[in-house]
Amino acid sequence: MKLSDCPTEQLGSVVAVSDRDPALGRRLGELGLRVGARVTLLRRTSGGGAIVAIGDDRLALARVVLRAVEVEVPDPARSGA
Amino acid sequence: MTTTTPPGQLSTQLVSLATCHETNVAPARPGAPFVVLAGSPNSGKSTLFNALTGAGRAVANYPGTTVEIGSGSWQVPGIGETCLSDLPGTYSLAPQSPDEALTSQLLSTPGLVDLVIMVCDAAHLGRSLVLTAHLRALPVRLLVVLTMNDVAADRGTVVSAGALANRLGVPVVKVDPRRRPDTSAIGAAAAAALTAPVPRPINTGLARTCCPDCPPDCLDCPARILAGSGDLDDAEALFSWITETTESVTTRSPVTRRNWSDLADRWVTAPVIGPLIFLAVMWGVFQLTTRAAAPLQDALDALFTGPISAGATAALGAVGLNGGLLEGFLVTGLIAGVGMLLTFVPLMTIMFAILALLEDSGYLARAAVVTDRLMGMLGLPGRAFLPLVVGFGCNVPAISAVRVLPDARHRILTALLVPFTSCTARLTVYVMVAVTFFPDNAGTVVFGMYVTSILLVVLGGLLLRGTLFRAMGTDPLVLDLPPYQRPHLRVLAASTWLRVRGFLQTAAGIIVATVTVVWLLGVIPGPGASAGWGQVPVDQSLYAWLSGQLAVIFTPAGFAEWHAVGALVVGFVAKEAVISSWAQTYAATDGDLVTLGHSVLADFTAASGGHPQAAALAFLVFILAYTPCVATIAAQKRQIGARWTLVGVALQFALAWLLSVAVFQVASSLPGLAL
Repeated sequence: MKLSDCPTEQLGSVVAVSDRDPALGRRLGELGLRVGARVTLLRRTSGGGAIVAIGDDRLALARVVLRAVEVEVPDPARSGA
Repeated sequence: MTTTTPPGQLSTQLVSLATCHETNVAPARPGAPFVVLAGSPNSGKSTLFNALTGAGRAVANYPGTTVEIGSGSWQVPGIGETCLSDLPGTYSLAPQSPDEALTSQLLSTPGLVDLVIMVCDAAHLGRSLVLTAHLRALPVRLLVVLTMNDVAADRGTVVSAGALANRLGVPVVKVDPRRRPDTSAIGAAAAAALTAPVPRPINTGLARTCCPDCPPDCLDCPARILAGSGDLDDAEALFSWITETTESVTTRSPVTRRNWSDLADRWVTAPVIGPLIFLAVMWGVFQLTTRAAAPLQDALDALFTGPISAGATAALGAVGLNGGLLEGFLVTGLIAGVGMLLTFVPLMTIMFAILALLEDSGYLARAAVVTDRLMGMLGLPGRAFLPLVVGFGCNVPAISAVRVLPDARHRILTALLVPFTSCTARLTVYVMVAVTFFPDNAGTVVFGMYVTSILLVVLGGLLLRGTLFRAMGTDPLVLDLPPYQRPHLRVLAASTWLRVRGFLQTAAGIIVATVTVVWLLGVIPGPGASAGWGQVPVDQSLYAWLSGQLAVIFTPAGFAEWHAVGALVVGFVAKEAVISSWAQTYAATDGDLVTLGHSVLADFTAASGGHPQAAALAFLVFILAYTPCVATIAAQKRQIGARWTLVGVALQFALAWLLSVAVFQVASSLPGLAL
């Protein structure tokens, strides 16, 4: 799912970053938001964006940026089994 | 050790910085080794720079750019004086702004820099390692300094300097620049690095074929880095190297500690509470830059216009030189000019201290998040809100506040928009004119001026975005949030002092010279004057004559009248002087029997063909839109350079004239306003 649709406080793994804007993708990579990174959407912010956690790092991202990041979250049913 | 000449593709401006004496950017002896501090934003780079150079810092725009670089002299044991420059923060050598481009250009130019001190944030090591990896793949002398170790320790993270040094093959030193660091370790390491041969580059995941003559595992060609850095696929090997490096040099405590920054951000960036907290902070900033500074400004003003001017007059009288041109020059020109300059000192000190506080505490980044969408309408990041709010108090500190914006294009655009925010100095003119011309609706007129001011900022922003700044993209919010920190008084004081000193150095000449020129115009006789130099009445002076000549321009705006235009000339120096200029010129020509308001009303009625209210509105709009004061120009020159400052002044005059003409033409055709 897109990071923008991810529930808050849910740990997920980045599986893809849109290549539509290479400069944006590169900057996200430099800041640690790259394929394989474990990311948590901490909370929604004023203006429609969100704060995400990558380890100890915190990034404030606009909604359009959140939409450019695909994450995989553990299936609750499977993890509960 | 000397620097070598960079290759031809770079301008000679690079050499100017490297040799440290061609410009006033870097005060160090010619031929001193050129050392630069590089690192990501918020890594503690500038604090370390201040600790190494002390008070000997010069902050100036890099030649030919609006990118600000701090440079100073740094004594390295065993080496002597070096030229140390604090480069704009960047995450890698792949630039995304003019500031980052300059850093990238300087770092990747072979032979230009003698030593790069890479400042790595131990609390965000992976992020700092991107630029470190780029630099380590280049043939440059590199010294890594680990900062923010206390913040990392609070999170249960410890970075091993020894392990990192082994991994990188360059020296690594741990410091905490925010707590008065022992810089001797850095000095010793720098001395060793400067005398050692340039280390061979290592493969940091960037090795690939770059040019036909290079082998596949080439490690010596700088072109490889720049050629590959923009390619996301190529970045995978780099990111793997960073992950491996981070994990091999870091130990983490298994205990998860409470993150106070996360708790605070629940409120500070929240959808409703966040903007309310932001507004409360802005209200506080506005109050401090207006009310708290005002008594100090008034005291300084009284000191210069009172005892100091009287003392100078008495001293001149004692030696028989009073009453002449010398007294006029000293008291009305020089002392008044210096006095005006110094009245800005309390204001600027408060403003710079607030900026340092907001930045150092980590709140400024949160404010940028809260206001991002609003400012995005003008193509500006959220941080631009701060200078625009401060502008409603005083434009001078507001323009200095554009330094909170990391991108030079955003700084220029914001600095061009700040003069349209209606400062309190203009309020005195609004009130006097509104009470005189609109006695029953004065409050509404003054309120309307503030609404017009906001509209001007928005319209000016849209106009500039559609023309001069068309190429400037609107980047979505991607912001690294630093943890909240307790501000350190020593860091705040050092930062404030450096900025105030820099402002005074730039503004002194412009303000004193302009005040002196206006005084000079008042004592030089105009054509046909009945008296000579220094004796001429104001209405026969060159000032009155020039104002009369310029008045023609304002015929379509309805106030082609020399007193009004003369007030605009004085208002160019400072809006506070508009009313006193009117009082002075009318007192000189009309005597004390006619009140100032009646005199202005009578002249506006005559000049406007019977539409004084329409002319008054046009005059107010001109007062709002044209150059606020000469100190604003000085602040703009410092922040965005002379060329953009001139563009701004031209834009302000053009917009002011067009709007005032439009207002008069429309308003004079309305029956309700035709007296």
